[in-house]
Formats: sequence, C-alpha cells, structure tokens
Amino acid sequence: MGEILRTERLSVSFGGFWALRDVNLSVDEGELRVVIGPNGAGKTTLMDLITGRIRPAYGKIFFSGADITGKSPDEVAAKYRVGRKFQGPNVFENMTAAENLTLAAPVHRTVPSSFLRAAPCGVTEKAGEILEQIGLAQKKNRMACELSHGERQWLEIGMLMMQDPKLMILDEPTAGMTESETHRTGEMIRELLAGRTVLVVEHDMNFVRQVARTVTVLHMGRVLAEGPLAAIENDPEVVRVYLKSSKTEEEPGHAGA
Amino acid sequence: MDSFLALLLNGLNSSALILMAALGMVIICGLMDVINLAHGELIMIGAYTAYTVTQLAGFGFWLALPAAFAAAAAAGAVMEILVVRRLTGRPAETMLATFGISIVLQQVTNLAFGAQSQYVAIPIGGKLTFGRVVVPCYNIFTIGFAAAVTAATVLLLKKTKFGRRVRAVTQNRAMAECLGINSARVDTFTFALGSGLAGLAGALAAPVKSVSPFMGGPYLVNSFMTSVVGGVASFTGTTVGSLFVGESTALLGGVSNDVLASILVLLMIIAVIRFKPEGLFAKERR
Amino acid sequence: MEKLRSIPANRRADLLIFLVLALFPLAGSAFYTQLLTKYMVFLILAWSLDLLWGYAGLMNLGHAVLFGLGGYAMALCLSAQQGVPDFMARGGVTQMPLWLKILSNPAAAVLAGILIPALLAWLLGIFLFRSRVGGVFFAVITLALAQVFNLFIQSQSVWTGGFNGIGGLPGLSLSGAPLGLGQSYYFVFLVVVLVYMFCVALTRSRFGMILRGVRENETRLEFLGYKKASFKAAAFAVSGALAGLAGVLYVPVNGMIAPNDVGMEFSTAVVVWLAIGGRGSLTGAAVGALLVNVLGNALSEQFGAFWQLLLGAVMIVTVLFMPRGIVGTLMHRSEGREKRGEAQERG
Repeated sequence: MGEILRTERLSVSFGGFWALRDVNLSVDEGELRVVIGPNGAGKTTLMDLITGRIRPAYGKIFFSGADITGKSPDEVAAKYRVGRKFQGPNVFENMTAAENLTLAAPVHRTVPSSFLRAAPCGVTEKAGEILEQIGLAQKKNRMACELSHGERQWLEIGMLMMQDPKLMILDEPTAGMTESETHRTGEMIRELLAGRTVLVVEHDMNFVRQVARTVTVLHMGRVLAEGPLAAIENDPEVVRVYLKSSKTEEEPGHAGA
Repeated sequence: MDSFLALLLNGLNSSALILMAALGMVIICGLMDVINLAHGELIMIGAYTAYTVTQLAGFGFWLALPAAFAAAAAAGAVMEILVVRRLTGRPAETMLATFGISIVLQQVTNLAFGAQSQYVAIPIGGKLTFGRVVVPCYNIFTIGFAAAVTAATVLLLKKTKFGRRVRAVTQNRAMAECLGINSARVDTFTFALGSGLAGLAGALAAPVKSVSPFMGGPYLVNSFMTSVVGGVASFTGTTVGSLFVGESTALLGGVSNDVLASILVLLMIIAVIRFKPEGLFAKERR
Repeated sequence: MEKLRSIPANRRADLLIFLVLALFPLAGSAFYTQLLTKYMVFLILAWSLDLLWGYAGLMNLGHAVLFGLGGYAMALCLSAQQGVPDFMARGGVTQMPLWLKILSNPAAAVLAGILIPALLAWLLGIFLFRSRVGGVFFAVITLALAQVFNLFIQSQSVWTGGFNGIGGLPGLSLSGAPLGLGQSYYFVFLVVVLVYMFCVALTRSRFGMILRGVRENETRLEFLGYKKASFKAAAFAVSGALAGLAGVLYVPVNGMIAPNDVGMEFSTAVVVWLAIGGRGSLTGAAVGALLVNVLGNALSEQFGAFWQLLLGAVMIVTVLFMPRGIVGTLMHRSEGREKRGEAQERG
C-alpha cells in the first residue's frame, strides 16, 4: 500500500519560538501510526497543521498526492476526508448521542442541500450500528453532556467512524480515562479501525504498546526517532528524553520491555 | 483651514469624552473578560450624581467628580457581588444579566428623577480664541482631565501593589490565589474601579450632554467601538481608539452630516473587527 | 388520548397556544382582539430571533433593524397609494421616484420587506463570520447597527417621516377589500401558523441540526467538514427574512411605524422576551413574546415605569436562576421526570 500522508520540512513558529521545525513525516495507507513525545514536543501542533487549523511558516503537506498546505479545516475534512478527534472529548454537548453521529455523517454538508433535502436513508442505520460498536446503543437518546467522560471520548471516535475519513487523527484518545476504559479504547481502535489509516497522539505507554506498530517520537519540535515500537523503546536517545521520565512516573516495572 | 482646526478641536473634545467612557469598559472587559451592557447606565449614574450634587444640593462641580466616581463604583461593586460573580465563565449569560441591570437602573432613575432631560451648569465659563477658532474653556479642561485620569489609571495598574494584584489575578487566577491574593476581592475592586471611571465620565459629560435616564445607549456603543478598535489589551490602544472614533465622527460630520459620519465609522469598525478581531493594538498572544 | 401522548410535550404546548389564539376573538373584546393581532406579529419576530439566537447561538442585539426594514418597506408602500405621501410633499418631493412607484405595489413591498433584510443580514453575515469573529463581537456590532439605523431613519425625514415616523396607514386588505377586525386577526393567525410550520420543518431538518451544532461546538462542526460561516450567514438571512415579514405585517396591523420600533430599545425588548420565555424552542419564544406583551399591556397602564423595572428584575432573576428561561426550565424538568420514569420501568 502506498503513502497517503507526507509532510516536507514542516515548520511553524509562535512569536519566535519554533514549535515544529523541519518535520518530515510519511504515513502509509492502512497504517496505524503513533506519535509520542514529551509535553510541548509539538504533537498537537503537528495535528493542527495537517488539519488546517494553523498554517506552517514553511514546508508542505501532501495528502493522497494533493498539496493540502494552508487549506481550511472544513476543506481538509470534506474534500480530502481527514477526520480528527480532539484532545479531551469534543462533542456537541446538548445534543443526543444519535444526533452527534448523524451530524458527523458526510452527507449534505452545504447550506442548500441541508436546507432542501432530507438526510438520505442509511444514515440512521449506520449511526445505530456505530452506537452498538462503541457501546452506547442504550444511551443513544441521552444528551452528550449526560454521558461519562469515557463515553464521550468513544462517542467522538464513533463520530469519526461515521465521518468515514481516509485518515483518522486521534489526539490523546485516552486522556482522562480510567485504566479499564483505556484498555477498552485500545481494543476499540484495534478492532473497529482495523484497515483504516490512523494517526494517534498518545502519552500512555501501555496504550501505545497495545496498539502500535510504528512509532514516531517528537522532541522539541523535531522528529527524534521513528521505527518499530521495540526499536524505539531501546533507542538510548528516546529513553533519555522521554521514556525514562514517563516510565518512572507511570510504571517502573516495565522498563526495557 | 480654520474650520478644519475647529472640527479637529471639536473631535478632540469628543475623543476625550469617549476615552473617559471607554476606559472603564476596557478595564472591566480587558482584565475580567466581562461584557457589561449596563456600562452606559454607570455613566448615567455619574451624570445624575453630578446633577444631584450641583443642581439639587448646590455644591460645586469639583465635589461632583469624586462623588460620581464613588456612586458609580459602589453601584459596580454591588453588581459584581450580586450578579456578575455568579456568572463567571458564561459570557452570554453575563451579557444578558447586565442587560437586565441596565433596564432596572434606567427605570429606577426614571422613577426617581422623571424621564425629562436634566441640566448641569458648565463649571468653567469663558472661551479661548486661537485666531478665528473659539474653544470653550470647559472643552480644554475635559481634554486635560481625560488625559490625566488615563495616565493615573495606567500608573495605578502598572506601578502600585493593587495593580500588580489585579494583573496577577488576570494572568493566572489559580496561581494568584495560591500566593494568598483574595481574587474575589480583587475582582470586586477591579469592577468597582471600571465602574467608577464610567461614573467620572458621566459627570464630565453632564454639563455638555443631555442627562436623562436613557442617555446610556450611545455611550455604550461608543465605548464598545473604541474597545474594538484599540483592543482591550493596552491603554495606548484605547487612547488611539477613542481618538479614531471621536475625530472621524467629528471630521466626517463636518464634511457630510453626523448620521452619515456615524454610519461610516460603524462600517470602518466592522472592517476592523473583520480583519483584526483582537483590535489594532493587540499584543500577540499565544 | 394515547395519540396525544405520543406528541412531544413542547408540540402539545404549541397546540394549546394555537387553540387559545384560535378561539380568543370569540370571547375577547374588539380591543383585545386588535391587541392580540399585534402580539401575534411579535410572535413571528420572536421566532425569527429564536432561530438565530436559540438555535445557532448568535445573539442579535439589533434585531429590530431587520424588522424595521420590512416595516418601512410596507409603510412606504401603504402611504404611497394616493401619489406622493404628505410627509414627502412637505419635504419638497413633487414626483414619485421610480423605486417608490415600484414599492407602491403591495406584492413588491412584501417581497422587498422580506428580501432586503434577508440580504442585508446575509451580506453582513458573510463578511463578519468569515473571520474568527466571536459571538460577543456579533452582539456588539448588531447593537451599534441598531443605534445607527435608528439615527439614519430619523435623519432621512423626507423619505421616512423622521422622528414622527409614518402614520395614519390603512389596515390589512385583500385584493382591495379592507379586512375587518376578526378577518385581520385570522389572516395574521394563518400567517403565524404557516411561519410556525416553516420553523418546525427548518429546525427538524438537517440544516436545523447543523445550526444547533454551530451553537454547541463550531470547531467540531468545522472539522467535520462544514463551512460554519456559510451556515451562520444563512441562519442570519433566514432570521432576517422572517423578521422582515413580521415588520411587513406589523405596519397595517399597527397603523404606523416610527424610529422607536426599529432601534436599540425595541431590539432589546425582543431579547427580553426570549430570555424570559426560553431560547432554543419555538414554545419558549412564543410564551415569552405573548406573556411579556400581555402582562406588559395589563400592568404598564397602571404601573408605568414599575412594569419596566419589574421586567428588568425578572430578566436578571431568570438569567441567574433559570438560564433556560421559563419554558426551557419546565421542559427540562419534565424530561428529567420522564427519563427517571423510564429507568424505573426498566429497572
């Protein structure tokens, strides 16, 4: 399978501080890539750039062969079909779980069509299917704000599945989750998103070990290392700047696994 | 040329009044992130205080200025404690509630003083003549007073202990609280300060503008426009913003008419909002 | 009975309101029938703001501008039926300008009264919402717009009647035949029902759902591939069209229009109706508009400024203790009860 996303020398600065510098990243179709790195490494900034939230100072982003540098978020989402889950649940709080999914469906996204035409049949069925898969079928008529933190995270993953993008970006999908919820999210990503191209930003090394094959390590706005998880975990440089600190914090027992 | 100079000086006078009116809003909006739709009514309270002190009680205008500050500051403190504080972090609700407050204040004044316009005597008579341009002395006083109050406010916020606390709370509330600053009290003081300045603006405007229960609306709109143009981050911005609004209204009013001038100024401000929503003098924020 | 229960609570409440409105002229006096005709026009205005503010979350503090554009279009039309209107003649106008000749055709006036505010709203929306203009800026700009529009109407006294407005206008008529009191009432009632059906269809459509999405989380919406600016501008335009329609109806019903009906004061009145009645539901807007106006009429004669004072106080209390408004709070409670009931049945 070929390459679907490529960044070339992607760089951005905030008031003289280079949040990202010369980042070259390549993701293949069907790959599940995990991006890790300490706080402030530029992980979310990278996702902001790919999805068009901010523009790079220089550098290019190519998606499916097209140059998407500087395109607006709605265009990146609708035309190039890149979906994004934000850090922390980012859903429509005062709408039901089912409505959240319906709104995510990639149909009638322009004013005239949404105005004049009913949603095509199939959307409701698809939403029902996804609600089953993310374990919210019983709560489909609950307002999103009445769901638990973990359930809202899953709802947002469900919205992404509904959106059916070519590339799914998940920014810390397990943030704030309990251990069992985190594990379940890992399973969800492994099972439900199998075969999709997924880019995950994550902190939780347990979760990374659960889902990852290839890992990219960002540090101070640059790519520090990239490769299979096992190699990354043994890379002395990575261990020094990132893994050591996160290991001692989270679970010293796993060192060098 | 002379008429242009006259317009310019006239505009400077309007700018000074607008600056005074906007100063309080910039403090409340910039430091507390609160949009106070009762801002015009705080100005009205100042104007009515001036009316009460000078016309009803017979004291001099010089007593009216501090009295107006105190009355509006007290009203602001009560507003902050009873209403604004309970709506922290809900800007739309805050706007609505302060909007309700503005109705209440208008009607209370209406019941107490009646709906008719009141008159406040001009405290400084006389005119100065520059060539063929005649400027009332009170206008010169207004301009000087507004400049002095702005400078004093900047000094208060930049150089004093109170100012440091206010800035600490604005920048990092949790941290400021950890350092033992009573952030609730700082909020009340900040709101009272902004309100007091609005009251001062009302007293200053009272001798030259009409004083009525419903006078607040235009002041509110002008203060908003000034804050939008200048941004709420800097007092330089506020000053330039008020000069922009005051002078362009006066100059455009001179070549066309006042209404057309207001329309043009509004259009310019819409353009500013469109292209620089943080205001022309916003500091770059991350 | 079962069938009635399957209708959601808010629709049942709407039906009840319509039933009362439909039967009122049979029992009420001519005076109150006429008054209620006017309040039904306000109902349309309240819904038009609710679509924008309650659904899309955009607080318009200058809504009366859109209402006024429709109103003045109709007022000019009605006053120009017998040649140059008096107030224009006094200003030295001797011949009808072309635009006024066109506007003197009632169909053209209705069309203009709906399309001009819609167009103005759409253009302003397209311009403003393209940048990252927050809701607060929108409120500020529209507030300033109301003030400037009011000044503008007053200054153009040759064309608008200035401070006194345009008065002495004939009531509703259909193809030349003037309508009686009851007929006018039911004509407006019919328009209200049609507007209601339009609003229900709109809010239940995908468009309506997207508007709620704008209110709830416009960033999320944007990253799902929607151009949020287009939807906000479209919501503003639809709201403008309905507000214009309300203005068009208001003029023959009220007999006159003046700058007071188009400035900050009346704009803020509409905001008060919605704040008290409840936003985001057609029922809330309807209850707010009718309740405030009916009570206002009953109380303001006796208590004058006290009524306004009370209104302001009620508004503060509503925002502090019932942010969803009267109807929103009641519905939230009943929904909660139903859910608890369901849970018990299941458990």
